[in-house]
Amino acid sequence: MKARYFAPRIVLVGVVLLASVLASTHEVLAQNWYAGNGRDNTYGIRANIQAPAGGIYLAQDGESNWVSTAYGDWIQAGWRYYVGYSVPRPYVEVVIGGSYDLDEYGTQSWGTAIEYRVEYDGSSTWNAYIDGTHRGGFGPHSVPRTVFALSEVHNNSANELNTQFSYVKYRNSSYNWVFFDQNKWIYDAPYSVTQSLYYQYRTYGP
Amino acid sequence: MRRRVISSVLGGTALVVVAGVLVAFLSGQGQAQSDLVVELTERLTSTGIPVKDIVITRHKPVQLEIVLQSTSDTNVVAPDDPLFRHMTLRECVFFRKQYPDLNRIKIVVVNTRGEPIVWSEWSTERTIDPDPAWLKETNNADTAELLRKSILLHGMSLDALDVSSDSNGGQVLTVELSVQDVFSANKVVPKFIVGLGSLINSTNREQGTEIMMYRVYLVDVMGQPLLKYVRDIQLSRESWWQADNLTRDWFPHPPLSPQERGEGQ
Repeated sequence: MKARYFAPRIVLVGVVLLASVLASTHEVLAQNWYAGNGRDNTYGIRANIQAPAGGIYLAQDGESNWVSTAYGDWIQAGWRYYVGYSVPRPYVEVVIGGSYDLDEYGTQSWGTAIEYRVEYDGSSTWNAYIDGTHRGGFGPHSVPRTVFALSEVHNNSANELNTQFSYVKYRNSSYNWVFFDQNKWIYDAPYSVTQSLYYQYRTYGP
Repeated sequence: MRRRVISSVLGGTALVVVAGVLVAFLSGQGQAQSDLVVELTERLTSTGIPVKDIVITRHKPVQLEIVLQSTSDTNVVAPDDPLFRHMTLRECVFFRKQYPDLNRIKIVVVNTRGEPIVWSEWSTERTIDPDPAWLKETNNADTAELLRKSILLHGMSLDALDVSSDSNGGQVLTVELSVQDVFSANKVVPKFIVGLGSLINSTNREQGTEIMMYRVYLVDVMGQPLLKYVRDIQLSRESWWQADNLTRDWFPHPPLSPQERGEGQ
């Protein structure tokens, strides 16, 4: 008789414990939030990424807004803004074969847009460009690749996001630049993205 | 007739002289570029960088391919390789002050089978900020003492903290840390790295130190490396190696693929 009463209680306690463990695990693991769009089977990506006029509020750490290859190794270009920065800083980040590099190149003023681009050069090498200036060639990095043009908030979802992505294009197998044309939206709450056009959108939140 | 002979002889002589000057100039330039390779090789190897080969791939402006030998026998670098790559770039950027023609380098890391693991082509024409000429002399022991008192370890053990002088001016901080395991590391590495960056910036600004580069070596209790990291303030860059299961939450990174998330396609 007692067992009948206890069994549901034990199950309930178990569920509550499991839920709290999962919640705490999620809390530890979910340190980054993404918003933006992507494209499969590409040979490059480019986008004009604006730094919002008037700046943004950061509660902790910071955020980055970038174009990048993905899935496995990656080559990424964009701007990032962390606590302690007065303005965003353009950067190129490369991870190949377990080797990580992150180079910052000057600053990007609030309210301005810069074109960031990473593209395949036909010989296992990908090149990164910031505002038309070549910032390095890296390899080996195969094709075709999935790419993303995303905002990424680091470690605190109270950080403000307000980034305009324009002219988001991918490079096809004929090496022509084409506007983003796939629904590969990502938006982790509390952040969101305007989804009227695949290649022109604003990421915002919380 | 005589005049024609004289002018032919003079013209021929002038041609020979011009050709001679050109050959001398080119061989002098060739010699200078050979000297550049010898000097750079010496400079890199003296700092412990495992240089396998340096080849001039273009003469004007000079472009080099620098091959580094990894101890890895796979297509993944060994923990020290990213730091060697960084030091190679740094030395070349500073070396450009002596050889302004040195314009671009390609650094290739090869495994023990001679296969390339990673390569990067970079311009050596980079901003060095602050310029070494602006740096003043500082006491390394005092700086180390200051940092030992102020560094926030977030529960990690400080095994060593050393400040030395860089050959290009400035101070270099090396911090050796240990933690129980990678799970403990994942809880603290993001805030440690961000915090250390802020600490170095404020110490340089407010205490007059000249730390231009710092390295962080993190191991677990078994001595297995979890992170080998370098930040170069003068070149505005970071390079590192990290264990596969160490958190990526302290730097920008794209989302994982469905397979990487264990979801399948």
